[in-house]
Amino acid sequence: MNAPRAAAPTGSPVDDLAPAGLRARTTECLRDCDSDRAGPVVAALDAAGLRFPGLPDRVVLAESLAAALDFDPAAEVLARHDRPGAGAGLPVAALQVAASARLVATTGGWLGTRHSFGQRLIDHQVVRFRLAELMAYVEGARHLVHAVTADTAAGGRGDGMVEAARLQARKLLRRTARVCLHLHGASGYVAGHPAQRLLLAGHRPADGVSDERLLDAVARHLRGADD
Amino acid sequence: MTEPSTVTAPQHGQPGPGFATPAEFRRSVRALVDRHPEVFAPEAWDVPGRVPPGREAVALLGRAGLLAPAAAPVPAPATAPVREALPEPGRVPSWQFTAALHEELGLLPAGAVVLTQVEVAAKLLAAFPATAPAARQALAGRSLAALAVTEPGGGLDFDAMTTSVRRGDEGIVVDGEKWLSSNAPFADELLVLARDTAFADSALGRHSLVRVPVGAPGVEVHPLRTLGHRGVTGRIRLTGVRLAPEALLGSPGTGLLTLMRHWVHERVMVALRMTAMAEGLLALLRSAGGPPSGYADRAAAELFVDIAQERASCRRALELLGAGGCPPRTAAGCKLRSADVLRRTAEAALRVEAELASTRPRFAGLDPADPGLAERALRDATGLALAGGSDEALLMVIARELR
Repeated sequence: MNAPRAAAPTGSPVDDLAPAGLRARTTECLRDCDSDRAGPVVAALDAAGLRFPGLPDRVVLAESLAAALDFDPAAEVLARHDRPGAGAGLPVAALQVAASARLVATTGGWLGTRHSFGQRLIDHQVVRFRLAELMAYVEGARHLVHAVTADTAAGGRGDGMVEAARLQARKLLRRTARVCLHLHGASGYVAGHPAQRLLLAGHRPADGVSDERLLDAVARHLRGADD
Repeated sequence: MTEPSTVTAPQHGQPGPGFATPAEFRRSVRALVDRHPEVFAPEAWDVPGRVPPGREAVALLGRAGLLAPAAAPVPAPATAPVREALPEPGRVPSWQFTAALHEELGLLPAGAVVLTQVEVAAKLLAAFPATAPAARQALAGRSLAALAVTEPGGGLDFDAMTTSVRRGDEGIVVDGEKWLSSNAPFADELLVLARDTAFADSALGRHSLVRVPVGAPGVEVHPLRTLGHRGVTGRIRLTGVRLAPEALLGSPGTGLLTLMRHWVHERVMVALRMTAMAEGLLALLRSAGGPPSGYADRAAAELFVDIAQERASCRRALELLGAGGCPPRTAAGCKLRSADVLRRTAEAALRVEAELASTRPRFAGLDPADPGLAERALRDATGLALAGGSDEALLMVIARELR
């Protein structure tokens, strides 16, 4: 892992973030955050016992953290402060979706600076379509995570939906990282590049639960509903 | 619920009489569908040589007051902030009724006809004050309208459009040919996009929308043989059709602009239907039963996860539509993904259906002579993936965000 690790828990997630240098960036990101999306994610954080008095407005922490692409320490902090129960794992899922969104955006920006066959890489339709498809799936996963978060915060039991949201966020992160690494070419393959770091992170569940176990949990819910 | 014989059509986008909650509304839709298998059962559709009971389905639902509550409200001005346009707390947003209707019709072939009637025809008519009464008639199930845009020579290539509207001595004259027009075989009127010769040199808009009564001299409508949606898709020939100037829908020359705004709505609605169909197919898959199997269970779970995502996304898009602020990329993304998940679910269901057909003659209640819900869904999915723009057109919409 190339990103700096967060310090041991101190009781405050904000303090935990400070050693990783994330708090300042998080606060900065808040200026650009989409307040329309704040509610459900804040609910997820609240459900996980995370509250951030003193920061402006109510914090879209998971999504804001991703802006810095320091995924590993952020995921670690979120997972550490997550609480077992109906909404467990959703803050990390929100982070995975937001990290995917950020990676797509930065990849698009980078492709705008590179040229081949007489035009910017981003202007080649085949490249645009690959990014556009990722953008579509980022938005879909975000809608799912937000909807499930809102539902569990309102007392919903989940019925496999939390596991579904977690699975979808993981799959998205892996897919996004794989495609964006490829689009970055050799530079994306170099150690420390955000794309390859996220690719590895996508295969290393922050909460220690494999995709297969989550999928089995969804399947059990389906069987239970059928019986 | 007792089916009312006559119902005053509610205002467009307002919950109808007697439906306080989406759940109650949903039950009413289900009860009506169950009471009329001759109209709604899949076996009543796709019968060679017979016009599908699309008119009857719309009439039954409309007269029972079940279409108007589902009709999405006329959007607030595009400049209105989304938050200001959100409904007051405690009031059930109308999009929940929209979702309830289309989800309830799910795999039923009538769902496609109803979607076109409510979300395309009535929606377009409701967009203009002069035709708002016609929208209410459409939602009451008293008349059917079909949108006619695509031509044999081109889909989204509007510069290649040959259908034209020109000014005549006493009105306007429409000539041309359209195809792949949903509901055209049993429509009372057509909403035709035509190149407007009065705006031939305009840089802003060269197309107008025209209301064309099917009974007008010079109008011919025939069912078009297609892979899916059999019997509900039409081919239209317009030969010197003379109409009053009032037949122009909205401001002349702005037809394409109107449709471009409308497509955001249509794409969300098509996505909603595709997701509802995928949910129905997943239920079909699960009804196949059998002992617990790691592979089969996980395959169903994977589909469930993808469908759950599209359900959440469609609902969010509906919410945004109701607030007048659904971005085109969101609508395009919904349709792109839901087309994919429907295709994959239908393929999985078709494999199971084929396997079980030999041992269980009435798998999921289907007669083997019937093409089956999975096959029908796969055929219809192919058409739905094209409706409102192909995958590539959708990707181009989304890619506009890239600089």
